[in-house]
Amino acid sequence: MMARVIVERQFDEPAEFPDIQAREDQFAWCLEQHRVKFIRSYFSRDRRRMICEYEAPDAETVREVQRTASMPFERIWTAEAFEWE
Amino acid sequence: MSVAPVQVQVLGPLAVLRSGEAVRLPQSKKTRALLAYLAITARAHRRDRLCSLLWDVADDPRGALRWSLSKIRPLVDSDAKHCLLADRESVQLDLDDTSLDWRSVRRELASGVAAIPSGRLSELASVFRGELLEGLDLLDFDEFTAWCAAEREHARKLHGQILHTLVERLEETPTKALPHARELVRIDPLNEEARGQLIRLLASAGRRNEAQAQYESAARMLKELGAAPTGPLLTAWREVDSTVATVREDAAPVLERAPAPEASLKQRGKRLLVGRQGERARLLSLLDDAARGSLEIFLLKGESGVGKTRLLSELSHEARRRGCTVFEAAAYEAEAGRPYGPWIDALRRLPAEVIADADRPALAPLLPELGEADDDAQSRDRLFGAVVDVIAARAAAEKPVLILFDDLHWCDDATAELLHYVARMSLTRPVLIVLGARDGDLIDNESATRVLRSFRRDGLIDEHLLLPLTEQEVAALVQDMDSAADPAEVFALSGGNALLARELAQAAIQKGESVPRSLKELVGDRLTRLAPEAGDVLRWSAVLGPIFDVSRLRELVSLELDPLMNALTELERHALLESSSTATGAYAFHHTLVHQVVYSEISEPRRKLMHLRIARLLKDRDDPDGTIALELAHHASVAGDAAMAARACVVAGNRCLRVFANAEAYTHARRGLRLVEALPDPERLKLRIELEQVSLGAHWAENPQAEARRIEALAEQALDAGCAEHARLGFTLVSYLRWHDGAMGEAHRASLRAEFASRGADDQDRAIGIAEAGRCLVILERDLAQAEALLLEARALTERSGRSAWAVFDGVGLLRLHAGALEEARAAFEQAWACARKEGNRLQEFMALEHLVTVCIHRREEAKACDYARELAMIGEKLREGSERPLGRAVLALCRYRKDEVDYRRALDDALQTLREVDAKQRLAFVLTQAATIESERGELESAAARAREAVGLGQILQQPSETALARAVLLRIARERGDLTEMREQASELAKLRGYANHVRSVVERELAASGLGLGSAPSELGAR
Repeated sequence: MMARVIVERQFDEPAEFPDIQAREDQFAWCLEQHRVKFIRSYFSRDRRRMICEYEAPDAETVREVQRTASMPFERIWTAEAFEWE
Repeated sequence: MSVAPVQVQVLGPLAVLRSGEAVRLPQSKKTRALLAYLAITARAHRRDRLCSLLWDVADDPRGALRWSLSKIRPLVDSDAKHCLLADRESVQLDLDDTSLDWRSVRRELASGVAAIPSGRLSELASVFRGELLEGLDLLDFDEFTAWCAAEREHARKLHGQILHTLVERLEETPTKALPHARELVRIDPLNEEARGQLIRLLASAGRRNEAQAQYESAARMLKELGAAPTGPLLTAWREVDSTVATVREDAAPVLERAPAPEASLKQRGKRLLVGRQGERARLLSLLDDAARGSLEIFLLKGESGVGKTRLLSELSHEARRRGCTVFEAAAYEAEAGRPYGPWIDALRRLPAEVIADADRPALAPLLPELGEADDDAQSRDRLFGAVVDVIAARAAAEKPVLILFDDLHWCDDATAELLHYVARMSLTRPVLIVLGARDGDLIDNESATRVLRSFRRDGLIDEHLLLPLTEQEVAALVQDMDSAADPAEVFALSGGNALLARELAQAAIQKGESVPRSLKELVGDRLTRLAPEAGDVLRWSAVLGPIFDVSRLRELVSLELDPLMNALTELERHALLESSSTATGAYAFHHTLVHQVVYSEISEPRRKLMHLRIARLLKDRDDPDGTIALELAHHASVAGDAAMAARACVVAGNRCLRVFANAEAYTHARRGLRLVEALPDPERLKLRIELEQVSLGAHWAENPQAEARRIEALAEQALDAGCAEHARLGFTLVSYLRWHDGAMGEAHRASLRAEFASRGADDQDRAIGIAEAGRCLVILERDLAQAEALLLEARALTERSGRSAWAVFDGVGLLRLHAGALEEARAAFEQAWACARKEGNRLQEFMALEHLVTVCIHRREEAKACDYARELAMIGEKLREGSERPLGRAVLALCRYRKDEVDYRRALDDALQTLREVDAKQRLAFVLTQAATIESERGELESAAARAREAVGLGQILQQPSETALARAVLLRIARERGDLTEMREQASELAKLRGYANHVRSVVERELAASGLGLGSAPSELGAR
């Protein structure tokens, strides 16, 4: 049973999505080994805040991977999705 | 000079004389080689050295050595003197000073040739009956080959000195000097000075045409070897040529070439099958027996040239006539490293429709022309199965399948194994297997002997020793061939050996006079009568091997197609070559003995250069499946090009591994490893590591730990030499040796991907990237061998830069913890902690402490665990976001809870709840299991069971075997306390299903199982199985 994990990021300077993407790609091997799957990201218009969504065994695994890849993050938490009927 | 009772002659073919009479030598080539080696070296050798010299991959080398010594003893020992001195440790052959021709010659020449009178020098020259140990080549045994080559070189040098001195002293009487000058050119054909001298002597003896032929032959030879005539040869020729121009008219042609025989000798020889009626009938009746639906195996033994091949080809012919499918091939001495050689040849020779219906991908490892092997095909069982299927599909009543392998004594290990498999799988099929072998040489082939022994044990095989022809049969042969030879003389000289008798009879046809006495003379005689082009073609053929491809030959000789075909036709007519019956586009020597004679007639230096040229030709070939490498390894190593040969050994070894021919792969690796030592670094290091990989893939190390240490040192040297790729391969090998799980190729590929992650970074960043990748695998308890490889490499990299890296220490600690080496693990974690403190990295400090607490808990060092836990909790409080703070609190509470401080239960529960909220499953599972352990020991079974069950669930989500196993061990303990047998069985059975958990966990699991009176049964974990 996999968890949905949310990563909140904040940048001092406006960030470029391709940079973030490149960094994640570089650690694709690590993500794969940990069974962490990227789902989607939301970027604020000022490019200073970002929310990323992953599927993973638990939040801690995502923390571990983010640290290994030296990706900046503020908070990482497990979430449940609600859909309005 | 008194003559010693035993004489050993090595200057020429090996011979032993007792009281002047030649005695029969052992048939085993290795035994003869051993005798020669002991005689020439004349000192004591350790038994293990002799074993590695001649039996390096035998199952029982010491047994083989004992057997050989038992054959040598009666040759050299007498009542008066025991020459062979052998004890448990060493062996020595103690001959008198006058007993060995080579030693006598050396002693006499020790003070130089100048002082020796010409008469005596002539006598000494005649002691050289040919090349030292002529024909005694063991090409697969490089150490012996190297020793032999050095001795030959020495002998040739002394022989050359003698001849050179004689030629100089006799210059005034050319007729006396000529034989010596000719001999000098024969033993050293590339020596231009010697050739020049011969040309001058010939000219002054009035034999100008012959002088010209000598010049042309030398020039052609030099051209073929990529050189041109230089100083001495040209000078000599110009001197002669200028005088020739004026007197050419008078010169009588000296080169008399015998007219080609009218009828093809080969055809004439082929028609005849003299005698052998009993054997022929026997073979045909076997074909009938097999047709009735059962496997028949027959071994035809006999000395070389006695007529085995001739009889077998009769059988093959008859089987084909009856419409049977025939798998027919021969093994070759020079092809021992070509796995499945005879099978490949036999399959290729089948009609296309036979293979069309076969499992083509499964056969592709043997026959690359069938297309790509699919991934499923990569198993030996499937390959063997596919061959059996081809046979089964063709084996029908009335038309049995005939499998006919000649010269089995030279077959490779893989061929023998497949033969054994085919036989076992065909017991109730109409299949006839007929094998031909020289019984003397069979002893040297362990694989073939093993298979035959197994056939004998199962009562499957009939054997027959083919005896020499009788006097009447020889007479019939002579008569059938219309030979003018005296049948009695032919019989006496040939001893009934069919090949020799045929050759003798044939010689008499052409000469009608006195007959030469040995096969060597017979063949040598025919060689001199060949046109120079044909002679060259024959020599190149001999260097290529007893069977060879015409297209390859064409690239070597400097002849256009037409003259080449003419030369081949001439050689066929002289019954030296024949177009191969077992391979298309190929020619074969009329008999392997003929090949041997021609090959040994070529002087060693020339032979070497010829092999070198073939090697260079092959080197640039596209060789996707490694088949050319097998040939290349052979030619390059005989040519003495160690680098090229070692590289080819790598490719050839890998090729053998792909077709599951481990024994051959191991032989290539061993040969390569012996060759590389002479190379400069880093070439030596790179090739060594690659060869070690082949060697390990083929043959599991007897002492893996020692091997691992050796290869690790090698990998570090490679790193120092800047060969990162090879260093990594080395470390992968080390980890493979330590863990022995997973496929090596896989591990290597994955580590390359990990390396990709750190590409472009500086050395330290790269080291950390690699270490992180390794650490990541250990945490996940996956591919531990690869994890170790990565960590070893990272450690070597950081040690070189003098900068320590936390990830290396922590990763190594986790690995040691997994392996159950708790003390080593603790030391590594202490280093990691120190490193993190120095760097001021709190998160890393926290993780190192977390692992130190884990070690202490497993060692049941409660006080120490508490000390670390306090530090851990303190740092945890300083870290923001994440699971560190609740884990720090939970671990501290746990340690206190264990020390009977029951008040801490609430603190523990609070911390556990926070761990759930931050969703850190592994940390949560760890604390839960430890809390459950404490409570189960206290009898609080209800609470303990709930915690352990939660931990099991978490371990399953994470797919981490260690956490799951520990939690289940607690559940087992609780069930035992409760006396719940059903639950106990349930937990034991779940534990038995788990794989790959850590060794320190295993000891807990085993303790619990033993206490419950249960065991892991027949399915221990991977680590436990090691």
